[in-house]
Amino acid sequence: MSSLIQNRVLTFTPLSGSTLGTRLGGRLYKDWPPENAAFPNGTIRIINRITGGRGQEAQYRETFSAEFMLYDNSRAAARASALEDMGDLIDAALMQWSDGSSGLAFSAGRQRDTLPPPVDPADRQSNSIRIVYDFTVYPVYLTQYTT
Amino acid sequence: MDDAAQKGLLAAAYPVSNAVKKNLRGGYTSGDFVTGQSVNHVTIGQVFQDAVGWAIKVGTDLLYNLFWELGHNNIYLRKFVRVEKWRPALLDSRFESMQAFNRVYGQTLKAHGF
Repeated sequence: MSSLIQNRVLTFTPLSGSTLGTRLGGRLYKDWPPENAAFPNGTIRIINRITGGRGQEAQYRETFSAEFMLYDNSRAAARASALEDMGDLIDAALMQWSDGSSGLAFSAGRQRDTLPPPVDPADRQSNSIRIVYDFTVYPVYLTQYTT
Repeated sequence: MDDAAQKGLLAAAYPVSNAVKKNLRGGYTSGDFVTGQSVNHVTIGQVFQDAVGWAIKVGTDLLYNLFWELGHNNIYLRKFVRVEKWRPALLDSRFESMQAFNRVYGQTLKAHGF
């Protein structure tokens, strides 16, 4: 599921400008950036993944959050704007998105926060944005057991 | 019922707060630099109402806790670091928190004659 979402976000073509994959140079990492990763970069994590639903649906339904972190090592106005634009691009790719290729997945909500200026021991020149999307999925590896 | 919900939420916040404090006791790295400041700055806010209903926040007024939780480039360690303490604490304490809510909610309703 994380690969599906990651691919969606990296290859989504916005109304104007380049894809996120181009803007980040492909640097959207699962869970953790590598040592000495260039900036800007981003991470994607699937968190709070639980099964549940009403009645029989509980066996086939999952909810989770896809957490994106965008990081840059400059707070210059142009770089900060560019980072926000990347966040907007992820919003455009995922909000109202649904996909049936591996079962049914759809995004249900989002919380987005631009972090305040860092304090010691964080690098004060750095900038970061956190975006969390709520997903509901009926993955095929569960729905295959429906009768 | 609003009164019961508000009191229940206040009760539910304490297990979360305690779990966070427990997680913070060892510090974020080796434990050699723990001053107790993070633990002493875990806060429980006022109950408030939002679009969904009643809510309460367990948080901190220390910014550096935020950056440890969400990740940052550490100028001393000279690398990216991220050490989650809050989210695991919330998940670990969720059942205890729900039990506390249910207990106080029920007691408050009973006191009001329901």
